[in-house]
Amino acid sequence: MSGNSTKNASRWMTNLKEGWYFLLKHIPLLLFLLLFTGAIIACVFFCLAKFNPLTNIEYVIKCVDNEEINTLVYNTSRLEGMVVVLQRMLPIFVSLLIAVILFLTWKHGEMAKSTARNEIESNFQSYVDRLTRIEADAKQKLSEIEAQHTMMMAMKDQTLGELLTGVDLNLRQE
Amino acid sequence: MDEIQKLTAFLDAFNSVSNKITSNICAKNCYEVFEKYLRNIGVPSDLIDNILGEFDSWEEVYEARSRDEYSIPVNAVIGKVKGITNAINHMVKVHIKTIEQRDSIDV
Repeated sequence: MSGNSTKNASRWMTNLKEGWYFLLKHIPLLLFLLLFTGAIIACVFFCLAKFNPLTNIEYVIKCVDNEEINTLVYNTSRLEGMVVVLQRMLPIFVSLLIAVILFLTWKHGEMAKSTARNEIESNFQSYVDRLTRIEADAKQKLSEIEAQHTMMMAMKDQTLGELLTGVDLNLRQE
Repeated sequence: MDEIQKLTAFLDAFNSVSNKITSNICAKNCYEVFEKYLRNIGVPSDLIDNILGEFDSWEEVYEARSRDEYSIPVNAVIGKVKGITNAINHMVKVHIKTIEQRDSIDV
């Protein structure tokens, strides 16, 4: 009973840990999407908004020979409107730029980190494999020497001629 | 066929089986043939049983080797096969030399 609950708790902890790592791994993407969406929505709102000249239209349009001529005041007020729009758009562009830089930096950092981690893991595995092989080779060599020694010691007192007498020496591999 | 030729032929056949085992190119029954050679030449049973180490049969050795060639128990068995092969080669060669010397004295 206690073993099961310990197992469940351990599994739960593992899932939580994996979830946390997943979240950490995708933070740059989430942040980027959030900022990007925010900036797009803000842009749409600015496009929909009307920026009328700040001065009354009656004072800025002159009629000359039945023709409407925009005065300097009119043109200035239009320019002012555009400047205001640009001023409001500037933080959005800056935030977009920051988001892109953040995203790229974070993403590249993650990529470099994961590449390094993979390389270390692969190297480690390679070293473990090599050590296993070396250990196996050493064991083989030791067994070889031991077996040879044991065999020689066991049969040293017997004459091989006696052993081989009456033995079917023509035995072939089946 | 005189004794030396018989011994040489035996040695060739024995080494061929042993090489197949050490190079891992032998079939399942190859290990049993090797054991037959050992029994045939008069190697004590306890030494033959000792080759298997922690395995119960040659079949187990074959399967374990198929799973992992570099496991310690498998390498221990192969090492023993090599060692016993070396010892038998050495002893048979010494015996052949003894026969040759005896024959030359007789002549």
